[in-house]
Amino acid sequence: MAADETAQRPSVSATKLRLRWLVIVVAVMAVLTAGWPLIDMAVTNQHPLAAGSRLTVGTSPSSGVVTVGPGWSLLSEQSSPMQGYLLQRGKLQLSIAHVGLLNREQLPQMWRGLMRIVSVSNPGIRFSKPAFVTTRHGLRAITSVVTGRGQIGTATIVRGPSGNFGIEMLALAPRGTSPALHAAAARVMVSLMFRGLGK
Amino acid sequence: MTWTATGTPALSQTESIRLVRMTAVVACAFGAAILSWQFFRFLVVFPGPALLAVVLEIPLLVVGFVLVRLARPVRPPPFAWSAAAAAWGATAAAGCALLANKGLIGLWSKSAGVQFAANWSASLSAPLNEETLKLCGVIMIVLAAPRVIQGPLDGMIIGALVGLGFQATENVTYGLNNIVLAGATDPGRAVIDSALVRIGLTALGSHWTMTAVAGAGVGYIVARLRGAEHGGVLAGVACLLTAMAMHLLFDAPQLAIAIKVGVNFAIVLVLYLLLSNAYLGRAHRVGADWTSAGIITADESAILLSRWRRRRELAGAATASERGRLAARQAALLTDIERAAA
Repeated sequence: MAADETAQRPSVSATKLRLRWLVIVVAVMAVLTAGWPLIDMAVTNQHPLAAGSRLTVGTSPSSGVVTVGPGWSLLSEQSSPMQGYLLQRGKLQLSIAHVGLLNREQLPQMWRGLMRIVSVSNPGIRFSKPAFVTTRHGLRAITSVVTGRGQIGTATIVRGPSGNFGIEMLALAPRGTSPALHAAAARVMVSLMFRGLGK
Repeated sequence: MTWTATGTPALSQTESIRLVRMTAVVACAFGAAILSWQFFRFLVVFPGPALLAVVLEIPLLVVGFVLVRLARPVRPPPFAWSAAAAAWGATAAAGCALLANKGLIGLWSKSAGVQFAANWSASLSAPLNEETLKLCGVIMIVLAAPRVIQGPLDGMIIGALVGLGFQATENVTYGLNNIVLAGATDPGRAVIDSALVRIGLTALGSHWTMTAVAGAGVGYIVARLRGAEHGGVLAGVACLLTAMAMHLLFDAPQLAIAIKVGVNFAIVLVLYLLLSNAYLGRAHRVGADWTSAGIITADESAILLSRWRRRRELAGAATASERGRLAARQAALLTDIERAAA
């Protein structure tokens, strides 16, 4: 039978070892769970974008491109070329998300989905009656005003030409934010175009 | 924690074990709270699909739990500690990993750019954070129940259970996130699609394999501390690094899913066959030694190492008290054999 030193040692030694390892485990967990987020918070999340920068969202051929004007920053932590970007200008935040459509849904279904998704992270948010609009590149879109907990903004969705993806955009800022910022966000939204189709 | 002037801990062995167990419960509650905070709104906005995401994981959890416990030769690990291992993975490890990954992935995005982060942040963050947090669960079981993990095979089984719990929770969160990625146009189908991939395609090579390997490493170190010949710190560290490498491979971009799953499953299968073969070899040697020493008969030695023959022996007992006496003797002898074989 193999030796079993642990069993033969005085229990004090085993207890010391146990407590020492408990402290190590708790410390390691605390460092990973709190340490990374604290370091992350200390590093700036805003990366300024040059005026005229083009951002591609999604992977080709299911991708869209938006063009930003002056003064916009990219919030890197919440951004991914595959899934979407979060942009900021002043107090206004603009999210541009790529969604994969499972059943080639039409705009009204996409709109209902968007309202539910937005309400996950923004409880109590309300959408005005949506309206069909045409973007600068001739794309058909749905847009409406959104309001919630001291915030106001615009939501816009556009269905991709293949029908298997869409782009959802939401601009939100505290009430009282300059209309110029909302107009800047609207310009980014209507700049959307789809790769390979020229529109 | 208080210590006397001579460095002797003020806690008794029993108290220190209780402290470990209480800490584990607190860690699990903390992890569960983080997960609830993060995903509670999904339950409000998408109640049906959110429940579906949970229900779809139950078969994986139940079947995996039964199979992993059966994989331990001779006797399964204690049910309560098996459940505790899975619970750690599902709550403490998964909840803490959510925060740790968010922090580290955020750092990759900020420092290396969003394009690099989109491709590599998961494979460079999860192996470190998730494998370490899951491994903490295996170590906590060593500290809370010293007899449960006495060698590499024990560690492997408990590690697999921790990984299984983590895998189930992660699958639920992937299902919920897939609702968003699909634009919430068909939330039920988004959850089902995600589950089909995570259970049907990748389950065989996912978290349970990685933590099984890392857990074997803990077992090697425990065996070394016990003075067992097959124990070793180097082997333990090698197992942990292998688990992290498996995780990196699993999350790496542009690699076929079949390769990722196949490699991880092959690694865990080969390690299991090696460890269980060695374990059974040692167990048979103990049985032979005890037979030579006249402690047990040759028949009894063969019966002890077979689940089926032990059950048949108990079923053949004439009375309930005889069955109880036999079961107690089997359990006592097996405890000693397992200690020697682990």
